[in-house]
Amino acid sequence: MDKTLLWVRTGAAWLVALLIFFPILWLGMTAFKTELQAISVPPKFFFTPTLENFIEVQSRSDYLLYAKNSLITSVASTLLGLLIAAPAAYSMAFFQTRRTKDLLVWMLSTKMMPAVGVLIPVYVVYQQFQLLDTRLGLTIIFTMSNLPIMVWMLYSYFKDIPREILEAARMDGATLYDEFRHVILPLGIGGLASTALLCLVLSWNESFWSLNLSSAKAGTLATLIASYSSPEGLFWAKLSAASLMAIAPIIVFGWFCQKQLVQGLTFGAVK
Amino acid sequence: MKKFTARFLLTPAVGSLFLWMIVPLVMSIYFSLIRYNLMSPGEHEYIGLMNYEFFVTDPAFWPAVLNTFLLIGSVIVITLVFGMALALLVNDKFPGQSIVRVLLISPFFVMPAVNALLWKHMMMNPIYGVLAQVWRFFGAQPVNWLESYPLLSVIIMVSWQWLPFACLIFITSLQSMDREQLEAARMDGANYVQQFRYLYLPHLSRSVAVVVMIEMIFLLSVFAEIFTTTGGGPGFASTNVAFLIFVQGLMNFDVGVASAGGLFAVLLANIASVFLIRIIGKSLEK
Amino acid sequence: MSFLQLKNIEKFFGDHRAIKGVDLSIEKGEFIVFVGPSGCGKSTLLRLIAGLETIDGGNLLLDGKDITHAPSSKRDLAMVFQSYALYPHMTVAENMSFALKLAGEDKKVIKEKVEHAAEILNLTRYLERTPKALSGGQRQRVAIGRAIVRAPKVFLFDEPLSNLDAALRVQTRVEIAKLHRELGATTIYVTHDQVEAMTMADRVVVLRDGAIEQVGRPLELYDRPQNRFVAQFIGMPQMNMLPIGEFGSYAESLVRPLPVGGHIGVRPEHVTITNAGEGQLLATVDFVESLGAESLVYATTPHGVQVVSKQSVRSSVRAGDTVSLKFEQDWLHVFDADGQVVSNAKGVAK
Ligand SMILES: Nc1ncnc2c1ncn2[C@@H]1O[C@H](COP(=O)(O)OP(=O)(O)O)[C@@H](O)[C@H]1O
Ligand SMILES: [Mg+2]
Repeated sequence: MDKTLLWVRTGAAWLVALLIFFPILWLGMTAFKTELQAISVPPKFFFTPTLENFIEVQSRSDYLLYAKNSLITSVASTLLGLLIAAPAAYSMAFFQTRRTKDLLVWMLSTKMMPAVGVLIPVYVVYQQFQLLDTRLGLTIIFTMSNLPIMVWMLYSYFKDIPREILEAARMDGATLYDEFRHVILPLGIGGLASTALLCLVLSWNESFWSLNLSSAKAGTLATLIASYSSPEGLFWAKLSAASLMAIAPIIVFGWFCQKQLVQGLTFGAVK
Repeated sequence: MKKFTARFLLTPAVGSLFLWMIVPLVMSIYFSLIRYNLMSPGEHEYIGLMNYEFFVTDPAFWPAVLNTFLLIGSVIVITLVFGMALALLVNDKFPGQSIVRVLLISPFFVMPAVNALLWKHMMMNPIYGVLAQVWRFFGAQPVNWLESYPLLSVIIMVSWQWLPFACLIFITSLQSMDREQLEAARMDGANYVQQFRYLYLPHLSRSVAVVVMIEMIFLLSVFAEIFTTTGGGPGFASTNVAFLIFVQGLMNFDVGVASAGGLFAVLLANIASVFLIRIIGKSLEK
Repeated sequence: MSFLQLKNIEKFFGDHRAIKGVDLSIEKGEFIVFVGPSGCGKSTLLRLIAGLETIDGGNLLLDGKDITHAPSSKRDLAMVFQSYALYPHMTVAENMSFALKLAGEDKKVIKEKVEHAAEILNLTRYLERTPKALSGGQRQRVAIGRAIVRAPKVFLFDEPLSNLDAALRVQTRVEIAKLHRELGATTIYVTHDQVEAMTMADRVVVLRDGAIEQVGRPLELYDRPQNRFVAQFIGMPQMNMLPIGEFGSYAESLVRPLPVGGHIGVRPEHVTITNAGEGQLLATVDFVESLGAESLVYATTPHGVQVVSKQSVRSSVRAGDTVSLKFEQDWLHVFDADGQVVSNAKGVAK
C-alpha cells in the first residue's frame, strides 16, 4: 500500500517536473535542428543535431560581445551592490532604531516603481552624462534596481547573527573593522553569497533597461535576443540557438546554487 | 559615536536610492506639466494637468489598470496554489528528488525576453507550436493563443516563470515543519485535508507572505513578455499600465503624457506598497 | 580607594528609568553577586559596567581610571554570556585565543595560555572542535576559558548557569567558586537564583526595580535583612510575614512602640508546631511536604495568612488538623508599614 503510494507520487512528481521543464528542453532541442526540422509537423523528437545555428548566430551578431557585456555588467553591478548594501544592512541589523523598519520598507517601495515610469527621465539624464549604451550606465542601473532587495536579504541574514556574539567580540577588544572581518564576514558569508547569486541572476536576465538604454556597444544578451524576435520569417532554430546561449550559462549556474538562492529569497522569514 | 557610525554606513545606500527615486520623480513632475512631444520640438509651454487628463481619458487607461491587477492577481493565485500543491508532492523523499527539483527551478532563470519568444513561437504558434500539435493530436481545433486569449497567454508565461519560485520557497519552508506535530496529528486521526488545513497551511503562511511580496514587486512592471508577444493587443486586451506608458512615451513620442503616466504608475506602486507594508508588518516580524 | 566604583549610575531606555542611581564599591579580588527578580536590571547594570550599554548618568571608575564612556574593547573586562556567545565558526582554541590575537600577543604565548586554561577547565581534548560539536556544559567551560585566558581586570558573568541542567549547574557552580579562589580575580556574577548568590558570593547585591535594596555578606542578608523585600527574597522557603495585628497583645512584648501596619517576619525554621495552647497562634494545616530529612508544614491562620514551618523531625500532623504555632521569640524580625526593618532577630547576636 505504502509502496504503491510512493510510486504514484514519484510518477506524478516526475511528470509535472518534466512538463514544467519541457519548454526549455524543447528550446534546447530546436537549437540543434535545421530551420525546416524546427517547424516540422508533427514535431521531430529524433534528428541529427547540427551546430550550424550557433555558428550562424555568432557570425551574424557576435554573440561573444553580448555575452561579455552581460557578464561584465552583472558581475560589476553585483560587486558594487554588495559594497553599498552590506554596510547599510549591517548598520540596520546591529544599530537598529525605531526608523529602521520604515527605511527598509521605503527602500523596497522604490523597487516597486515600474521602470517604464522613470524611463524618460533616466534616458534624459543618461544622455546628458553620455551613459547611453555604455556598460557603466547599465551597471549603475542594475545596481540601483537590485539594491533594495540586496539590502533586505543581507539585513535578514545579519539580523540572524546573535547580538551577543558581536558583544563578545567587542569585549574581546575587537574594533568595528575586526568585528566585520572576523565575525560578521565569516558568519554572514552564506548570506552574502546568496545575495550575490541572486543579484547576478537578476542582472543577467534584466531586459527592460538593457533594451532601452543599450544597443550595439554595450548591449547584453537580452538585447541580442530581442534582435531575433523580428515578426517576419520563422527562424526558430537560430532564435533557439541564440536563446539557449543566452540562458544556458545562468541556468547551469542556477542549478548549482539553487539552495543558496532560494534560502536567500525567503528573506529569513522561512527557515 | 555609535550613531555616527550607523549613519555613515547607511549613507551610500540611502543616498543613492534617494537620488534614484527623487531625480526621475522631479523630472517626471516637470515633464508632466509641459507640452513635450519629441515630434514637435521647440515649444515646451506649461499646460497644467492636461497631460494627466489625456492619459487618464485614454481609452486604453482603464483596461490597462484592470489588466495590471488581473495579471498580478492571477499569477499570484496560480503560483500560490500550484506551488503549494507541487511542494507537498515533492516534499517527502522519492527516487530522483534532487533532479526533479533542478528541473522545477529552471524556468526561474530564463530571462523574460527568451521566455516570451519561447512561448510565442515554439509553444503557442497556432500552426507549428507544440500546443497546437497537441490539440490536433487529440482532434481539437488548435487555439490561436495570442490572438484569442492574449491576457491569458501572458498570464501563462509569467506564471510558468514564477511557479518554480513559489514552489521552492514552500519546499524550503516545509523542511522546517515539525515532524512530531505531524505525527501527533496523525495519531489523533487527522486526515490529509485536516492536516493541510490545521498544520501545513499555518506553517506556510509566512512563506505565502514572502511569495506575494516578491511577486508583487516584480509583476507590477511586467513588460518584456507583453512587448515581445502581443504588443499589448489585440486592441488593449493585454496592455498593462507599464506597457501603456511605454506606448505613450516611446511610440507616440509624447514625453509629457508618458511622464504623467509614469507618475500614475508611481502612485499605483505606492498603493501596492501600502499592502506590502501590511503583509510585512504581519508576517516578517518575529 | 576601591578597585571598581559605581557612582550614581543611571540608565534610561526611552522614558523607562531602568537603573536608578546605583552606588557601589567593589574591592580587588572580591566575588560580587547581583541578585534580584527577573527584570530588575541586573543584566543592564552588568552591561553598563561592560560598556555594552551607554551610561546615561553617573561615573564608573576602574582601578582609578574613569571608564564611564570608554568602549568595551578598551575596558579590559571579560564577560561570560548566558547564551555563551561562542564564535560558531572558530574552534575552541581559536575562541579562547581571539582576544589575545587581536591584542597582538605573541603566538607562542597565546598557545601556552590557551593550553593552560584548557587544562584547568578539562578542555584539552576538545581544543580543535567547533562549539557545535560540544555539549552544553563544555560550551559553558569554553566561554569561561575565553575569559580566563585574557586575565582581565574583572570577570563578568550573566546568568551563566541558567542553560544547564540541575546536576551540572551545581557542579559548575562549585567549579566557578573554586576557580575564583585559585585565580583571585575580581568577579561580578549575575543571577536570579538566591542559592547561587548565597553559596558563591563574598558580597551579595540585592536589586529591585533598578535600585539596590541591600549589600552584604550572604549570611548578613539572611540574618539582618534591611527590609521586607530582602527578607523574603533571601531564604527558601521564604520568611513568613505576618501583620502585627495577628499576634494581638503578644506583639507588644517584642518592640515598643509597635509600628502601625507593620509586619513580623520569622523564618520557617523558627516556627514550630505544638499542641494547642502552647503556641501564639492557632492555625489549620493545609498540607505537609515531607522531604525526608525535614518536613514543611503549611498552615493558615484564622485571618487567612499562610505560615510555613520547617521541622527537622518527621511531623505527624495532617491536612485539616488544627495546630498551634510557636514562634521563637529571639528570631523575630519587625518591619514597619513601609517595609523597613525596625529590629532584626536578637538571636543572631548570641
Ligand atoms: N535594550 C532594551 N531596551 C528597552 N528596555 C530594556 C532593554 N534592556 C532591558 N530593558 C528593560 O530594562 C529592565 C531591566 O532589564 P534586565 O537588566 O534585562 O533585567 P534582568 O534583571 O532580568 O537581567 C527590564 O524592564 C527590561 O524590560
Ligand atoms: Mg538578565
